[in-house]
Amino acid sequence: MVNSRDEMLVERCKKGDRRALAALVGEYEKPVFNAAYRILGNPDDAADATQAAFLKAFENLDSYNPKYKFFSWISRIAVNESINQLKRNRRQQPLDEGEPGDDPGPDDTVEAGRIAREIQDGLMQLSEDYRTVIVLRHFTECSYREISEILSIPEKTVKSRLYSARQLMKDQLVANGIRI
Amino acid sequence: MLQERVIYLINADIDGELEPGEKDELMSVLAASEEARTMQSELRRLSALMEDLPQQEPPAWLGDRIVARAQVPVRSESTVRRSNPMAAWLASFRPAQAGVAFAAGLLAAVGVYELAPRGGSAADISSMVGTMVANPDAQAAKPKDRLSIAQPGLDGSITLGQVGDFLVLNFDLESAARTEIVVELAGAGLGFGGIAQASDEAGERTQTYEVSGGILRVVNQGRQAFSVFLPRLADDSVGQRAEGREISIGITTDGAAPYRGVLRS
Repeated sequence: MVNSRDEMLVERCKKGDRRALAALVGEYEKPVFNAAYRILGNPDDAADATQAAFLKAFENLDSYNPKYKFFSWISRIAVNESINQLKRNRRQQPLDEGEPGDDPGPDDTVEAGRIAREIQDGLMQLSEDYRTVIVLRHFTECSYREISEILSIPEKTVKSRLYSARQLMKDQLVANGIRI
Repeated sequence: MLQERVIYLINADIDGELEPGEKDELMSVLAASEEARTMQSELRRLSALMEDLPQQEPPAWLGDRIVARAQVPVRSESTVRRSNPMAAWLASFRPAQAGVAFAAGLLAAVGVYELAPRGGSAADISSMVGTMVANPDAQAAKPKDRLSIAQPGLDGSITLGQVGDFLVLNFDLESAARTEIVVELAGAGLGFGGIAQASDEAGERTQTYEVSGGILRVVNQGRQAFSVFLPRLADDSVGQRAEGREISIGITTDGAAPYRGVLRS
């Protein structure tokens, strides 16, 4: 469903209204950051990807189609930025196994935090392809078709990756003592 | 071992992606198979666990930084301040008043203009953003200094010239990747008078710019041909003479070494 408030804010942004721009950032900064965090596994990289996504979105605001949700659009950009960040990280540093899950983050404060950390660890142990579809489906609520468009892969591949990724996640959580 | 079809039905149900009629098929499968029911229960629980994860808080500075750095290409017709005397002054330019034409050649009246306030300080060059557009009027300026750049990912030139009382910076650059150009205006006792894209570069492309805190930032990619008009601040706290001003320019290009140079009037 199209969010008419977002559409109005985008139109105001196009006319140079910085308050409208700030309103869009305020509305979607957190969910976009969270999607990036789930893909990248650390808050610094997630902040970089979030910033890059918003800057790119605003620079290309004319290409935004108000038929779609602004959040879907910015999420698509953020996921692509996160994937690019992953590739840069891979080039710049040798893989340090276990590192992504070592930073417990604010999730670690209560028992629910343990599950949260296990899930994040599970995500980071998935391959990039599997992790991305899980994040798009469960953290940005994209449909199969939207995921297919974002990743430029057939819907059949989306389903295949998503179902396999879920099975792997489930197995990992069970192996780590999480009751499913 | 569950069949691929059953795995699809269970997952698609969790995702809300079942086609009409498939719900009944899933119900039949679940009624007949304990293994299918177990799988459905586990995947539902997994899905709920992920979706119930507490949200991570982004760094407190992130939103402000995004807002500060974001640049939206602004439609020129809605942003030109036609009553601004600088716009009128630039629009009145005619070809070749004197001196040597800039390499880009055709430059002049543009998107957004604002004169630095008379008697103002560097901080008075407050936040502005805009998109450059072209004007077919020709422009000329007497050259004073020039930087030539030839490095991987970035090459071209930056020329400093003078038109009347104004200094004019002319950029003619080519970059493979996204480039941010930073010009320190206030540090040289200069204000921001306007910015113009070379007409032969206009097309559908837009270059965005921002002036804040006495610093001009221009972000673009590919060919960059534009001029920046620089009036001298009336209250020149830097105290530089008209001759001998130093304008510091930094260029950052993704994937390339940063460039830094100084032009002297």
